[in-house]
Amino acid sequence: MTEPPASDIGQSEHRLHPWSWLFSASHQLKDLLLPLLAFVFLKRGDPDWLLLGALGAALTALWGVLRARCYRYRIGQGELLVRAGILDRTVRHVALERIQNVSQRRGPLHRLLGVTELRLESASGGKPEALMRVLGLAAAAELEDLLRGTSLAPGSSGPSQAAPAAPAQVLHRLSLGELMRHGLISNRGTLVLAAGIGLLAQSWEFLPRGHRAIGALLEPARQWFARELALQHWALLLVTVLAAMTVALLALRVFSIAYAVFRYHGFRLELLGERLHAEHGLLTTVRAGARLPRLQRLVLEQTLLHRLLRRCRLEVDVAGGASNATAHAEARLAELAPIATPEQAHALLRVCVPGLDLSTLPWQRLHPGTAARRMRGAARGLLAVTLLALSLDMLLNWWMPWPVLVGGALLWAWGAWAHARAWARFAGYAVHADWLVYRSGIWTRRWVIVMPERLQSVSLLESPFDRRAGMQRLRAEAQGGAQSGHALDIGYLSTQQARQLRDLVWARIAHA
Amino acid sequence: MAAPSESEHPGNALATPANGALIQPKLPKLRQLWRLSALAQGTLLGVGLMLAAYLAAPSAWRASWLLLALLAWGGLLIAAWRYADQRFAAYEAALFGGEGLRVRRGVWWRKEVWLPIARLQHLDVSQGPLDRRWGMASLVLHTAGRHDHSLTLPGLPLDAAQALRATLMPRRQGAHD
Repeated sequence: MTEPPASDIGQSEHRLHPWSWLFSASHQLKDLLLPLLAFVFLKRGDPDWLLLGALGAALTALWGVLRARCYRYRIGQGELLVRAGILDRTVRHVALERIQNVSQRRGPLHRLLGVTELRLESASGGKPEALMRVLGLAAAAELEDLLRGTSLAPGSSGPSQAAPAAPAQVLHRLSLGELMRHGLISNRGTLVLAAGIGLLAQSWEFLPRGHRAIGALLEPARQWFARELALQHWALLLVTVLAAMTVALLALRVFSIAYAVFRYHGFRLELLGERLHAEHGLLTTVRAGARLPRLQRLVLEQTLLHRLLRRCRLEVDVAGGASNATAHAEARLAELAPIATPEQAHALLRVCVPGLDLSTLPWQRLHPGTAARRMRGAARGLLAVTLLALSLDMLLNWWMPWPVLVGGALLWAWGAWAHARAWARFAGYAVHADWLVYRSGIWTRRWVIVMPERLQSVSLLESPFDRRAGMQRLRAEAQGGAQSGHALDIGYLSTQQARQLRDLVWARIAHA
Repeated sequence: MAAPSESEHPGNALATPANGALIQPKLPKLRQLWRLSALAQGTLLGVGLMLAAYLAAPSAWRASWLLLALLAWGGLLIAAWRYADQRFAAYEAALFGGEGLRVRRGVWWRKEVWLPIARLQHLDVSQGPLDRRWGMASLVLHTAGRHDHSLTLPGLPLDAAQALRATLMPRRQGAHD
């Protein structure tokens, strides 16, 4: 093997961890596994096909092993040099200060062998700059330290307590009780259910006997139901169905709690210099980091359940790396606190936005016509529905007396008016130092916090309805965050307010 | 440098007087292009309308239904033509030297996008077949935003598009991140 002339001195070339071949091979095999299994099962008993399948798998695994062996990296002169590839050798130079996000992912096997999968992302988005599958823990920590040291150099707007050798400061952790609360609130049980159904459907062909057993278990229930239906025991049936629905809803919440515990077990958010790190997970541990100056947008969210339990949730958008691949999305900093008390959340917010206090901000209300505008929108739909219901009722020979319908419509209209008023009362925006805050919502309240200086573009929108009411909508885009949705989207602004905000944002980004 | 021509296309309703705005020229051929595309869409809709009228009409009334559909089609085409003209009138791109671009568009749903030079990732000049015949080009501006990350400025004279690109490009070196 011929070494290219090394331009840097002192730093030797590193290889991946000795166990890397295992993870590389299994990664290569993962995509192939299901088709291979299906293939083998469908051609059951044919030794030739079985052999062919095994040969294919072995070759793929071998490819993975070779890839892991050919991977080298070296750090020197402020850049990371990666050499990889078997047939097509690539050499990649990545400037260290361009690496924005560092994340680690450790499955059960990783943890057993004491290794970790390290991912380095730049701001450009798309594929990660380097994916090291896998590194020893010490090597990963060393690399992380090195990156932390370099990225501190460019002076930026982070808090001044950042010092290269600052010890990790734990900002937030979650106890089991908090995890259970989070599960209860977040209601991700359907996710677990969907995964279960998917698994069942996929294994249908391979395990016919197991599924027949499930069918046999359900059979008596089906028979009982059919008998009661034939006997027309309506009350009993109703009670049974209601009970079953209650049990199902409870089960969903229990699933959700289980999901929360698996995903967020041992959640810990720490501050290392100006880098935030979040670590969590029961079986698969994920560790994601981002630099404070790279935070694009903070969102504090409080649903009705959150308010009942006196909790809230703090999300964050970080620039860099397209999160379109869901597998990668979980290995990035997206939540500063899945659940926290309002006091804790405010303390966390103040780490990112010094001196911010949401309750004492000088909130500016939106256009005075906001409630009326929202009410007009609701009234249009209501009128259409009412007319439709009335005409349908007329065709049914006034099956329901029309005053009932009209009364219902009036009640609904009153509710809509109350809703519109409440919405307009809460919605507003405020400017705090370099930050812009927008709050909205009734049942689910959200506070969106952005730094105009970090935005990408700003636009003003005006629909014909806006024009009639003298309103405009302000939108701004940022890097990172959800594919759908804008970083900032404030409707019902008066034309003057919209222009002021636009000027404020423009002044910060045009001269950045 | 892009040739300024403020006098030719004054700003429209959403205007805020801004100093030093270089309104970018837009070729009248763009109006032609938009008229053509509006007419094409109108024609497609009209054919559908006629077909629906033909199929839905009771046989005794078929002729009159078809006539009505034809009238509606005519109205549609006139509306499409006028809409294209309004769309052209509403479209405006202005350069603020050293700061960025402001692009206005839309007839009913109006939009005014402000794009800072410091955030531009890369720029493309593109030309369709009709563009080439008419010496016209589009400048496509890309930002790193997750949403709305590209913005197209159609109807620029080719040399103006290239000049605008040249004006915006050198700033790229200074772009931070």
